[in-house]
Amino acid sequence: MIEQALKGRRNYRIWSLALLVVAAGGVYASALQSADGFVHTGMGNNAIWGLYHAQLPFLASIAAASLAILVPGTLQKHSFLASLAPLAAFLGATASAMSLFFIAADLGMQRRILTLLLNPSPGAPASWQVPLLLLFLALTLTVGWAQVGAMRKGVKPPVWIRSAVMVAIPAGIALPVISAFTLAVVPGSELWTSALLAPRLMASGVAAGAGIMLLMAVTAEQLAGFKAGEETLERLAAVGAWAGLVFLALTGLDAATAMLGNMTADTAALALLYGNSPFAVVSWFALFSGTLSTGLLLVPSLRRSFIAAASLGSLLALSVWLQSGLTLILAGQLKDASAAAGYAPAVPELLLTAGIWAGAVLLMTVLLKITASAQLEREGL
Amino acid sequence: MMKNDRREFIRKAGMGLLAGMGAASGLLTGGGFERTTSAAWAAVPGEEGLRWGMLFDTRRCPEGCTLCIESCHHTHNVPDIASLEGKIEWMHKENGRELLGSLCASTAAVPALCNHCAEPSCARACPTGSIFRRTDGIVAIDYHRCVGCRSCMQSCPYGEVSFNWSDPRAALKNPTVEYPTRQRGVVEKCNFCSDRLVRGKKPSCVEACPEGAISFGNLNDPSSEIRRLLESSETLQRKPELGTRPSVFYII
Repeated sequence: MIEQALKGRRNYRIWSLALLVVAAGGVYASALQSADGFVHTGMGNNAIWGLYHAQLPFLASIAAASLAILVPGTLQKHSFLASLAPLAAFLGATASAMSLFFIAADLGMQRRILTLLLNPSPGAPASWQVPLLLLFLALTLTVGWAQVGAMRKGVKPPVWIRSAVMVAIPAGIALPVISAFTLAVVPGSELWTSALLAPRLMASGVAAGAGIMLLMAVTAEQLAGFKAGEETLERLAAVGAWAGLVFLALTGLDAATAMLGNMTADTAALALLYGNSPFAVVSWFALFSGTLSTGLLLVPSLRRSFIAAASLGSLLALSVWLQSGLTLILAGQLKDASAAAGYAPAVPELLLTAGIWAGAVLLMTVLLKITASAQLEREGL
Repeated sequence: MMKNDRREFIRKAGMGLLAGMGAASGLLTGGGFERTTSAAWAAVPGEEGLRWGMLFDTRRCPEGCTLCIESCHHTHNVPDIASLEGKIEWMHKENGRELLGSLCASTAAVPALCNHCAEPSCARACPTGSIFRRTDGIVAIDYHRCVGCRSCMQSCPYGEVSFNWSDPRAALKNPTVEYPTRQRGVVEKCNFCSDRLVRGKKPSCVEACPEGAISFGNLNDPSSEIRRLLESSETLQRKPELGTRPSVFYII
């Protein structure tokens, strides 16, 4: 199957090459950082975490969201989501791999990375991140690969993948919970200590995950002849819309509780997020685009149009990335308004972030290509 | 008759409830202010063993004097980095009002350092157990295990953990051989002079203070000097409302 990754039309080769170039930029920036440390980043005493850490809650929630498709797609007998199950598995694997790369990029002592596995401190939520991500990566990659292999041979997927999926369920659900808990141990940062953070991450992940999968499935359909089925895509868009609604509702509940209860520390944190910080513009854009895309995805005729659904899904994913990733971390770590001007990502930091993203998109492209080829090969027989 | 009894019961229960609410809201009690000071310490009586603590008598701390900080930073090879974004501090002096809240009447600068909390949030945040609370109450860092994720720095509500954003050795002017230097990429903070305590010495800031404004001792020993001072004076802690139970106290 792997040979399918190397074959392809001209557009596929150009796209892969472009992604490789961006990924190579990331490798260069990574080498620069290994040599000189974080001096090439915008991080410092006023911005303890930057762009790298800001990806983690988002990616953890995306990884978990893949279960929303993978579980019914593999464990139920007749699921309309079955054709998307390999895609969901690969999305989960890619998000876990990206998380691991971003965790590595954010370490001041990268050569001690194995310490995270060798000397865990179980009382600390952050200890669980790397082992769980490794487990989830292994499980989802294996499940996806086995499904595509079965698809190519035209046989039923092996029975053991059901057990693998069942092990992946608690591991995957734990990812956004652990991600929220690593932030909850920070007393006095009110955006992070809310009990709603974990459910919010989960809902946002399902919304964004459905959005990304819509984009993936429609792209694979247009370019590689992959067939997910019209009804499947429409239902996937509905999953995204409902999850988006839950996410927006939870965000609103959190803010309303803070304001009605006049919880001054909480409202001060909200004021930093939406008011007097450089992130306010981004926060409002994210809220607006999330509301817009969720609202439009609730319209059945728009869900039925592949292009509209894929674009709205992408906008929803972008909105979630901004809310559950960037602003959650960058605005959440601010102690007061005076520290707000502290962070602007530096060029090597941007290169490394873009590099990891490009690597992930390349991995996803290759996996999609293999899936589509397996499907075509079967039909060609 | 039955009905009357019930009515009476409801009336009394209602009055009791109102009285309870009144008491809870402070209407019926005398003082409007809660003692959040040494009470935070007294709330946990009867702890066994050793728990090192420090007390600053800021009345005796002269304005503009930084001898304690200089001594601390020299003893522990703390690099002198000027930029705010890269600064490393084990000890520093800050506006008392900002440090201790509105209970502190004075805005004069008072010394601040790691609080060696009994409930350290940094230790709960560290994924490798590199920052941990010792049995003597000191919150210590293993520089050789730290992976540099800065979770402890993020989770310290006092901002007392510093990260080596650049090579600290390059910024050391006059290193001492008695304490190791650090390398780029790990966190560091005050260690309550655990390196000096083990040799029977007092912390270097305590020794360096010409006014004797810093007391150091076992908080669990009722006969220690620091306990005597805690019991005889009004003291403040930094952000006691967070429940971290700091081991550093201030007399204003």
